Amino acid sequence: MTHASFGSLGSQSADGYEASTVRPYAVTGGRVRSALSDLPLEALVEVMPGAVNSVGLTPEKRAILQHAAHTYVSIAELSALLRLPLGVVRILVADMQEEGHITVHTSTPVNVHTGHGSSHSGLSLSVLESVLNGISAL
Amino acid sequence: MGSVGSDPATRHLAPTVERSVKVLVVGAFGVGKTTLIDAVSEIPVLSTEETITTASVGVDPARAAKSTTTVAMDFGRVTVGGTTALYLFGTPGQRRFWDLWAGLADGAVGALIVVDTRRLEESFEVLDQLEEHTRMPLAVVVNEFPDSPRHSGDAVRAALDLPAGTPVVSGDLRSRADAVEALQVLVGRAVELRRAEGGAAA
Repeated sequence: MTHASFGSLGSQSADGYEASTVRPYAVTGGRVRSALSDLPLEALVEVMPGAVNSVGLTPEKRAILQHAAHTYVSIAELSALLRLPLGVVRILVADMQEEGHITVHTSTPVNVHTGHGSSHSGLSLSVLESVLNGISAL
Repeated sequence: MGSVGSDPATRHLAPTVERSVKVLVVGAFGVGKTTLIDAVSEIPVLSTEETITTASVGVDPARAAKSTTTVAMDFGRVTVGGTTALYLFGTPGQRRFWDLWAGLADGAVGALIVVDTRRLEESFEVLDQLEEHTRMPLAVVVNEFPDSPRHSGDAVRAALDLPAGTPVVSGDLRSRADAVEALQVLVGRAVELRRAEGGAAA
């Protein structure tokens, strides 16, 4: 694999957000888990009104607010665009949700662990049917 | 693989999008997972990384001998029906990445298994993983390379010992139409299985 490593000096996303040279989990205060850190990668982040004007946020949290300011953005895209590992973004997003800056939208229940053997994705039949119809129209 | 898109119209989700779902695209290394994702995606394929701890599954993390690995995953996105963002995550198939997979599989519509009939045996490890750890809806797509031997769906199904009813399609995954068809077959399978579960679903 030849992917750029996180924290490489001067690597930038299209928005000019400069990747940090700080070790990835330093921005979470060293935490690798949080109450909501199991948020799915496809979960969509919505910024609450007024949150963009918040003061005292870390650069990473400000960057998340900027990226999601106008439309929903998924956790996976935030990770790719900000060049932060998925686990870090999950923790930051969970923190920001607790702080009231953002809302997270998921199609499946969060924090419901049915084990890896479950056949239930948690997606309703109507959601699956609507996805199928949408793909058929592509 | 493209760089991060510069066209804001395609890079940002449409304001009509209200929900998201995902499918996993799995298969042996170099089999065409990213090719398929790129063919379907409305954004240039993005890459994300996760640091995982291997060899500590099911063991008290404080006591296990841990080694950390960085795993890269390619993904793309396509908006379907105006309201749903469908994410496609390319997932490395090797056993040592299962720890990463487990979290990925939660809530997925299903897994699209990409195979290369010239080296079918390389798909066995991926299938073992899926069968041991999930009961996700599955569909197989044979990536037809110019020199691939042509096999019937039944032959591929038998060779891979797939669960009965698993759809098998084949195509050139650089073609958007073929890649979309594979996706359609997988989601169709998920709908069929969900209907069969009826009201018993959780």
